[in-house]
Order: sequence, then structure tokens, then C-alpha cells
Amino acid sequence: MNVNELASTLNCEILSLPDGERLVENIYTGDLLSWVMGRAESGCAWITIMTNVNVCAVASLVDAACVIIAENAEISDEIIAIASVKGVNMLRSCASVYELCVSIHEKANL
Amino acid sequence: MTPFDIAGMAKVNGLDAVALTDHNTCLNLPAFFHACNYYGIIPIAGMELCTAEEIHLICLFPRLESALDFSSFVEKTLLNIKNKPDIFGHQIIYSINETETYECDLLLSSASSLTLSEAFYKINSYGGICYPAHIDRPSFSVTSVLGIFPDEPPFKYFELSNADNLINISTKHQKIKTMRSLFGSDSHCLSKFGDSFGYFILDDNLPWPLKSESIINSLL
Repeated sequence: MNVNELASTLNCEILSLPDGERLVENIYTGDLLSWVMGRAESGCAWITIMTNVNVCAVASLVDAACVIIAENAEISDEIIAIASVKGVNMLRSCASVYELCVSIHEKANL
Repeated sequence: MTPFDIAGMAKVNGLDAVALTDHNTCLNLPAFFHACNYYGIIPIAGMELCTAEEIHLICLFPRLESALDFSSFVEKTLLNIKNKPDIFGHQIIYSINETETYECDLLLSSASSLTLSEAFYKINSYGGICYPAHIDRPSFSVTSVLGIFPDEPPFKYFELSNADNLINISTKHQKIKTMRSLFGSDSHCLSKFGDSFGYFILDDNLPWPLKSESIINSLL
């Protein structure tokens, strides 16, 4: 499943989508950025409630397929602009991290 | 922003002493001490440590050597991730007179495996002091990460990035009313330099000329 399809399956708001065709290969969840840096795998959809500027940097570092901001966490336009420039796909959902994981398991077979 | 730039800006801004607190490293301190000596500024050896909880702590040491020892220790506690300069920027380390530079390969913006409490006592064991950085900011501050200002470890100080936030933050976190506030400019570029100054009232009996050792010891 690619990021376009995942966004549509989960009914996510699209914040930044420079590469919607990118394949989502696995899922990772976590909010402690250094933890994510050391553990998330390339091609993941990373689900988090963190919305500071380092989210873009960490997503680039681990080569995430996309970031999904859970619980409609507030994010500044400036950070969304950085995500576009850095080529980071960024989605947002009102669902919690748990609900997103359950939906992905049920609907996306990941 | 080179160590010489910082010392020069400190001179221009009329500062007596200035601390360099690079993220998770002290490797630029030898060049910084050299530059401060050139400009007649008192250099204070420091680091901004990112703890395992992702809380930023300002660490200040009485002597350059103890800071460098602590830095070697911290290096072993960082995640073993290589820096990607296109994402995180260049991590430049200057030689003592800035004639040579090299890039630190280990990513310095990650976190140490030291917890807040472990870091506090470890820094003490190196003769240094530490206090939570920019507690009025929403990222990497003790208040944003833990939600409260903890009773332990027994911090004596806290840092604000903007003095105007003191009333607001001490209303939310009663504990800090009994603590000393320090104002750090948290300057990450030269144009931010001098946005915020800290004042200390030091013991009259301190030996003159002042040295960083007597300043830090008077804060212990």
C-alpha cells in the first residue's frame, strides 16, 4: 500500500504529500524522538503525537514513508512547510495512536 | 558561529563571563577558552545535555578538564547514529586556534542514556552543576516532558529563555518559587546573542581576577 492509499483508507487529513506513491512497508509508533531515531525502519509509517520541527528531521533520518500525526495534535504551518521542502509525507488524523494501529491492522493488512 | 565569534560578541555586549553549552559535547571548549582568553572574557565550560527523557539540562563545570572528562563519558552514552549534515547541519569542531576544523560524525542531537536523576548526580561527581534548560519552552524542557517540575533530583536553579515568562511559569509550577531563576539567551546564532543576560551576586571574598572555578563553586 502506498501513502496515498493509506491516507484514503484511514481518512487522514493531508498536510504534506510530496511523494504519495511511496510504498508503506511497516508501521512504527513512538513519541520520544531519540528512541524513534534508533529504532524506526526505512519505509515505515510513523505514528506520533509529537509535532515539533525535529519530527521532520527524524522522519528524514529514518527515511519514513510518512508521518501520521495522531489525535489532531496541533502543528504549525511553518513545520508543515519544512516537511514539504524536506520531502516528508505528513498526514494527520483525529484518531488516537491505538485506534490508528487497529485500523491499519484491520484495513491495510500491514 | 565560531568560538572566536562568541567570545568577540561577549566582549561587544559587555559580558564578564560566558558559557559555551554545545549539545551533548564539550569538544569546542578548548578553542572557546583560547578565544575568551584573547578577549579577556571569563570562559565557563558547559554542555547542554539531552537526557534519556529528552529533557535539556545546562551543565556547567568549574574547570575545562572536568568538562572534557564528562564529555568523553557522555559520548559513550549517546545513540550510535551517524550525523546526516543535510538534515541536522554540520557538527564542526574547531582546533584551539581555529586554524583547523573537523566534523563530529556521531549525531549530537540525539539523547544520552543518562536519566535526569543519573545525569544530576553524575555531573555533581565531576564537580559541576546542572539545571533544567528553557523550562518556558514547549520542547525538550522538564516541564513539557514530565508535566510537572519534579522534586527529585534537587535542582537549585532553572533556566528561562524569556524573563517575561517567569510569573506565568511559577504560577503553574509552585515548586520553582523557592528556586533561583537564570536567564539564558539560548543563542543558536550570533544575531540572538545578548537577547538575555544573567546576573549573579557573588561572594565578596572571591579571589580576583575571577575565574570560572570560583563562579561555579559559588553556585554549588
